[in-house]
Amino acid sequence: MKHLNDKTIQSYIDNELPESEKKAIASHLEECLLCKQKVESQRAFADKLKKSLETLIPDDITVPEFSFRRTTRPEVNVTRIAIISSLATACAIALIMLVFNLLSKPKPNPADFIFDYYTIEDYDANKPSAEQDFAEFKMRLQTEETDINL
Amino acid sequence: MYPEFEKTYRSYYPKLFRIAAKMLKATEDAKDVIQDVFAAYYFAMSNEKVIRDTKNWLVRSTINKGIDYKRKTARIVTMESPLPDTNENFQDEASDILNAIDHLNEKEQTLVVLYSEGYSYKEIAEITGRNCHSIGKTLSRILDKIKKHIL
Repeated sequence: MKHLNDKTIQSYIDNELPESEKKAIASHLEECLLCKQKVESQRAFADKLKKSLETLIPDDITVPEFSFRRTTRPEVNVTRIAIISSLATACAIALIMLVFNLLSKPKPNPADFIFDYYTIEDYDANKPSAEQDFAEFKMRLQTEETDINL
Repeated sequence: MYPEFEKTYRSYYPKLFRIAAKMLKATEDAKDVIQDVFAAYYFAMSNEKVIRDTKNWLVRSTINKGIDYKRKTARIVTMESPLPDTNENFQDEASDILNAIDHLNEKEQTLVVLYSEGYSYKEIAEITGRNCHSIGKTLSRILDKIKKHIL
C-alpha cells in the first residue's frame, strides 16, 4: 500500500471512511511509522483546534425568552441613514432657495427709468439728476400717453 | 406565538449559539445574531414558507447572518477577550490558533466552525453547498494553513 495522502488522513481521523478502507488503513499504519506519525499529529492538531474554539463558549448557555426586540445594541442601517439624510439636506436646500426667490423683490424693469430729457419741459439742466423733478412728466405720462412728443 | 416555534427555539438555541459564538468571538453579538435568525425563522413560518430541513435552514441562516454581522462590525475592535482558562500554556496556544483562524477567509472559517462543532462531512456539505467528497481535502488544507500561520 502507498503512503496515505492528506485527504485520506483527514477523513480517517474524522471517521468518514467506509469500513473496508478503514481496515486497510489501520493495517498500513501498523507497518508504516511515517504515516502513523502523520495521523497522530493531525489528530492532535484537530483536537487542539476544537479545544481552542471551545474556549469561546461560555460555561452555561441560558436560553433567553424570545422577543423580536434586540437584546443589546440596536441595528444601525448605515446606507439607509445616509440616503435619508442626503435627501433631507437636498429638500432643505431646495426649500430655502424657493423661499428666498419668493421673498426677494421683483427686479425693476430698466425701461421704466429711461426718460427722454428733451421731451420734458421742466427739465433743469443746471440741477444734478437726483434733484430733477419729473412729477409733471409722470402725470402726463399717465393721462395723455399719446401726446408725448418723443 | 406558535407552540411549534417555541419548541424549535428552545431545542436549537444552544447549538446555534455555539456556532455564532465561535464565529463572532463575542457572546453578546452571538445572542443578537441568534435573535435575528429566529426572527427570520418566525417570519418564514408565518408566511408559510416551505422549509425542508429546519436544522440546516437555521444553521445556514446563523452562518450567513454571522458573516453579515462580522462585515458590518469589521471596523469596531471588540475588547472582549477569550474566556480565562486554568492552563496558561494552553491559553497561549489557543489564542494563537484563534488568531490564525481570523486570518482565514469567510468560507474557510465557516468550515472550521462547523467541523469543530462535530458535524459530519455530509452535513457540512449540505450546509455550505460544497461537494461532500471535497470536504476532507479542504479541511486538511485549512488545518495546514492554520499550522503554518502559528509557526
